[in-house]
Amino acid sequence: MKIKALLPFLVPAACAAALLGWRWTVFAPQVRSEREARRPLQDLERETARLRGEISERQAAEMNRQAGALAAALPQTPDTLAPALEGWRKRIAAERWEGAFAPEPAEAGGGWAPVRLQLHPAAGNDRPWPSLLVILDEFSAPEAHMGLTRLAIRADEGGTYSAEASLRLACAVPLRAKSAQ
Amino acid sequence: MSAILPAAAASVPPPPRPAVRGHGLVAAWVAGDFRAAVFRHGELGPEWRAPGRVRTLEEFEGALDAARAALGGHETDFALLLEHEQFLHRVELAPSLAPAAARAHLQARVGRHAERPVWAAERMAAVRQDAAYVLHVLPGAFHAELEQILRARRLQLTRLFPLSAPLLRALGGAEGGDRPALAAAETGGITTVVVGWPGGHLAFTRTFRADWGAEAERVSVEVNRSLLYAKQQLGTTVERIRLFGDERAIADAAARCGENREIVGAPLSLRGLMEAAAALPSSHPANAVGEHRRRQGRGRFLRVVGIAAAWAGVAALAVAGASDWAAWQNETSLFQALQARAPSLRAEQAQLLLRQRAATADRRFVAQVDAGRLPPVAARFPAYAGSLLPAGIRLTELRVEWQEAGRHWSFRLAGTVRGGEEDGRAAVAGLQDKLEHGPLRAHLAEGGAVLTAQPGGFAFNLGGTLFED
Repeated sequence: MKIKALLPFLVPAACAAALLGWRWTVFAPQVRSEREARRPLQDLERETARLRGEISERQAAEMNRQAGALAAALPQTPDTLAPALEGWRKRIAAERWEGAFAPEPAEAGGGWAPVRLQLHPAAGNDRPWPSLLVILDEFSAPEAHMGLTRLAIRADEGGTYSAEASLRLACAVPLRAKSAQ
Repeated sequence: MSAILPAAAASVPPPPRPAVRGHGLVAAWVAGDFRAAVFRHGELGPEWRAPGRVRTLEEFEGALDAARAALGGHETDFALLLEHEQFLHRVELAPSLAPAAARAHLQARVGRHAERPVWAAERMAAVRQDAAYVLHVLPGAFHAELEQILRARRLQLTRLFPLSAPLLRALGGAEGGDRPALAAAETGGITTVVVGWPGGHLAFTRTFRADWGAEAERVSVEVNRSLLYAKQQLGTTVERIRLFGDERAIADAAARCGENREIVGAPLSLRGLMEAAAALPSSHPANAVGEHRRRQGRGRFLRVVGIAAAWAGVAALAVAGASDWAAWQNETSLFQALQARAPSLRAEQAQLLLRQRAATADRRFVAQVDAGRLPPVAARFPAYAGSLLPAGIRLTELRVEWQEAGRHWSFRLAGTVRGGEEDGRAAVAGLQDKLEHGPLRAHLAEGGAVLTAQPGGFAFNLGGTLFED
């Protein structure tokens, strides 16, 4: 009699227990394990989407172009500074100074080649100070791609100037190699 | 003045309007006398009477079957007017509490005397006992057996009244102003006395054993005692009396109690009581099964609600499960599509990684070249220092150097000052001041400039750092 009275509650309770049992013991574990198995591929999809959105094709091409142009404007290695230094020597001469470059031993694998520079006014340079300032300005211009790390200027009793500078010139090959690491 | 009205005028009860308008079977089981009739649209149909005495429930069962067979009909509603040794009536006092609290108090009282009783409490509207109740108590076992008998015959016991209920109704329907009235009836040697107010409000009720034929005098005495009690309790006299029983007792009572009272006497008509009982609603306070049925109704309602909630829960679980399953199927199909393009995805990822690495390397290369090019401090310092020199000072040496270790610039200025020592010191101090407070944020070495006398003036030497934060 009591069972019969409880039957309307027992039947839905049994149904609920069956549904919950299926959910907790069959469905949920299956979902968990399959999601775990699927994760690597889904991670790959997410990673690909992230990479796709991070740098566009156009941005990558533009960066490549900039880097290429910069590399072309630089001496390639510390051993191939001569053409660049010759160019600078001519620029210095145009300001009626004489420049003597002396490359110094570069740090192994370093991207910057140290160079010592001795400057003397050329004969007939009656405005040595302003022209020296022009040369120094050119050294510090962005397109020069060099760093002026030391400068010493002397003036003797007769008003004759001499200058000595330490420069460092960017070299494309080692710097690119370091950047790629 | 006293008067005994003719029996025809006093037929009991005279219900003005039936309170119950449905169909049903009405039975009176009063002191072994069993009668039944069908009640339709407020009218009592032909009556069937059991030929013998009905004492036990087994006999009741048989009588009921016989009555149903004789009366026909398929009524399911069953009203019973009961006077039986198992159906007890007694007065209980309850504290003047809220109805629910008073009922709980009475429940506790009733529970002491019967197991799982089915009971009703009728409040007695007496003046001096405003919290007195007359309880009609049926033992649980008796009621359960009665219910079982009725349920087996698809009958629902909706009303179970004591004799006092239709008697009270008879009083309520009688004319008589605003004074209380008394009714007494004899059934099987038991006399039931009811005193009520117009409108059907019970003042009090009592029963006593007396045979109206053989003990007419005693009946009169008891009726008279009830009248005195009523006067004491209600503060007013009872002027109307209805007596249903043997005419000897009625005549005796009229002689003893009839002074200035209207006495109506008649033989007891169980049919009249049945008709009155049938007209009483199930919510009548004397209905012994009213509260039980209400509780059953509440229980049934809660049960239905509970079952509905349980199935709703199951449905919700099923819907949630189906929804999750559909979502999972969708996720699976999406994953299958992803699996199909996994090779191309891997190739694309490799390509994108290459592109990203190349772009990162390019960006780093440009940034390195830019960062390695030092700020143009060394190139600009000569022009700046030259602009600061006051008249009389001439530089002989200028040095500026990048200190990689300290990440700052160091400088040294050497020169000559013409003139006296005081002027020379002032000129050098002025130069120092301009350097220290200028845009290059020069910080001079401790001790400041060193001056050395020389022919025609002084030599000075000063040094320090630039942009050292």
